[in-house]
Amino acid sequence: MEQIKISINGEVRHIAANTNIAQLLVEIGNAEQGVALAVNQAIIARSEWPAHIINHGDEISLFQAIAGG
Amino acid sequence: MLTDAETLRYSRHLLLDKVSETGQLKLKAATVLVIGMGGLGSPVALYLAAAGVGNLVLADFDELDVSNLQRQVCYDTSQVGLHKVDAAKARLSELNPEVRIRGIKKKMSAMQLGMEVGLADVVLDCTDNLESRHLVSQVCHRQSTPLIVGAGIRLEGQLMMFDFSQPDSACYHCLFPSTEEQALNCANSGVLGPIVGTIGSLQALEAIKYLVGLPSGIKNQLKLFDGVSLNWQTFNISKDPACPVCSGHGTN
Repeated sequence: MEQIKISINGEVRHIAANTNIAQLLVEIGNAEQGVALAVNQAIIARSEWPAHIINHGDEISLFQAIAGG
Repeated sequence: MLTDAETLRYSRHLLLDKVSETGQLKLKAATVLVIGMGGLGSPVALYLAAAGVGNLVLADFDELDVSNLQRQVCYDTSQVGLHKVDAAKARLSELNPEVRIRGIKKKMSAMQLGMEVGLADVVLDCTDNLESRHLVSQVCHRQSTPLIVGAGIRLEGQLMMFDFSQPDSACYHCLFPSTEEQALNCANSGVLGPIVGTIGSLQALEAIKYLVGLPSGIKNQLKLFDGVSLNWQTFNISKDPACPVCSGHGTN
């Protein structure tokens, strides 16, 4: 299977080509609630995760909502 | 026209082309709603009162606890046990007696929040829980009132501005659609005071800029602050076409 190279929060990973965001989150075990995700500094709305295919070289950022104040 | 006393007090604003007397008069005429008077609300209220924002409405139902004093710089040890809005009012009135300050000591219903947002030119979300953050964003969106959101925990901060006077503005729900309460708050995760001080100061800066008519550099953006490296990351937030709050698909 063709692999592509991406980074998640700065760490390089290799994943299968044609993986979408929802699949990626399952694969890395991080499909929990409260997570926001950006690809190359653009936030991808949760409703678009199943349709958004990750490309070679993409920089993925995952982070949580902070409630505190 | 500013009085002689105001001209003296705000002379460092008047030297700025981007503020000048015109901007100072806008600040004087403005009403700002600050929701949450903790670690974020403290610097927000201090800077807005010092800047001469004419009407400040402060909302918080908590009383001051001694464990708040490590980061909530608006308060003194002698005020422990007082309602935060009463303690803040005393402090801010000393700082700038010209500012009219109104406190809301009860947890607001959605309807009361709607009325208060309706009276405000801009709203600052300085709350400490996700439920309030979602409600505030929803109400501000409905009333087309700009919202400046700050948050801080441990050594991390988040800052965003949603200009709901613009129809293409994203909202808090577009970014964080889960309304489930997260575990991350100051009481259980800890926070360094200057983290909320940094984010709150920037919320105040954005509010002043908005009120005097300067453009915001962070509309529809999320700024993440890392207090260890002092690095900032910037993310663009697009309106979620499926958002039940701002895209007209749901209960709103």
